[in-house]
Amino acid sequence: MRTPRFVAALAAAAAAFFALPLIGLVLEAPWSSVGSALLTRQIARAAALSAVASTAAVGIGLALAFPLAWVLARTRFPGRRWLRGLVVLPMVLPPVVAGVGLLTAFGRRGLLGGTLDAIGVSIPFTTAAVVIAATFVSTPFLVVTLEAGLASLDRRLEDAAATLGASDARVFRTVVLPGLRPSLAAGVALAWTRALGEFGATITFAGNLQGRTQTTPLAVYELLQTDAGAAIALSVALLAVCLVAVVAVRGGLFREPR
Amino acid sequence: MTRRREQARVPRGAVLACALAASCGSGDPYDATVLAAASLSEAFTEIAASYEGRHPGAEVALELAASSTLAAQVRAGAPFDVLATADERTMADAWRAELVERPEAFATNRLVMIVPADDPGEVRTVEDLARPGVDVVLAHPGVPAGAYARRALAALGIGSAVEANVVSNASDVKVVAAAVSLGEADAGIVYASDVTPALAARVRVLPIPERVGVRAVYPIAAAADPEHPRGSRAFLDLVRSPAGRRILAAHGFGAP
Repeated sequence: MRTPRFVAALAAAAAAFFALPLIGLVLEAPWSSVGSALLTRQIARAAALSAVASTAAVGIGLALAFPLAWVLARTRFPGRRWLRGLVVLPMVLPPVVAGVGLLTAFGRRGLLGGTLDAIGVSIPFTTAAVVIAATFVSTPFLVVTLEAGLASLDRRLEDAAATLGASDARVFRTVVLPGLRPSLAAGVALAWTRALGEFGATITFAGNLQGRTQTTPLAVYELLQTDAGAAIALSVALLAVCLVAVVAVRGGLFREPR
Repeated sequence: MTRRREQARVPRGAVLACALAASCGSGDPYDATVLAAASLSEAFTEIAASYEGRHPGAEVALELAASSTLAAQVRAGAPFDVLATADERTMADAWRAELVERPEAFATNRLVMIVPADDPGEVRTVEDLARPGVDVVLAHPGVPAGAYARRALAALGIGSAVEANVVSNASDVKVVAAAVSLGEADAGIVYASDVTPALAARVRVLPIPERVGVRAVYPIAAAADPEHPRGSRAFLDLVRSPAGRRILAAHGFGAP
């Protein structure tokens, strides 16, 4: 079926819906002073914290996502659908709800609060809380992409390698991991950008303190009330970083396996 | 140039809001969109209910957030009828920008300290806030409640010591109350009016010495270009009427 003209027109309108906010940010940015607007101590600290926390979240996320994706893709057990639902729930959960949930689990009065307190650990309002919030909301992207990647692998290659005497570890390293590379790259890029953009769970669970828990999105929110120009400049910078991540995935890293 | 463009944007935004809300077509002239400081939440919710009782068919759309957040929205062209802030500076900025009519003080508030009921940080006096290891949550310095709190602490000579104990700069004063009532922070500074019966059940309230002399003054103003001119006027009149003052007093606000 050919593409009717009105479908193309609707697609253009839909594209405009996504493009306009980006164009607005770029047009409203105080380009003449964008350098000085971004080169403040507050923004430098927020950017550094965001970079570290997002990277840590993806690192922890990989450790959590690999076994989950494996179990979901390769095993059959009752409740598998529920497990998958549970694991991807943070993708659709309002982030502020995630934040309240994290407080009730890991807060000082939370389910694990007493245990943590006994070993002298208090999580809310710390950088650790920023990482936990980012991990909670971003790991589902790793689980989903890795599960899809594992499901699409040709199991016969693994069987052949095993038949030729390769150990499980060697099969994983030489057959599974290379086959998973595209989904791994896509998952890492999506999870990292999601962690970078996290706001609601962070401000609820980790609070807002420059240098400790104020990530870049929190800085944008705070600046919006005092210095809208700086907030827009910072938004454009975040936008550029996310754009690079997405384009890198689509263009370079996310090549279809040959 | 920027100014004209922003003004041109307002009606379009309003039209879109109407289309989305699907209630503007059948709107009542006494509808009112009221932006109020977070600390006015309970009092203005009650005043809004009273208003709707006096003007059957009219609806009050109440937005409650930090005064600075509301001011930022007004500057960005959000449609509204009445603005009530928790400090005079935020309102003065809106007035200078010709976004509101001449403001008028309508209530006052004072600061108190709250700690979780079981007082995990052993905070008994305001000076205890400066003790190392006490987790303090204040409203952000850009928010009136945060600015007042810091002014009080500075007057007591413990400004920088307490600042070192601040674990979070909350986006508005209600977030401070929540952090303390959940027991996640050892202490916070809020307004006397924030201590609702629900909060009082979960926290202990400690006074901040009178000698500090921090008194929050709340101004209110009509929008310069209101969405509902009649609603704007009528809501303002109710807030300043004896009935409005009674509701404010019942929620812990003083007379201006």
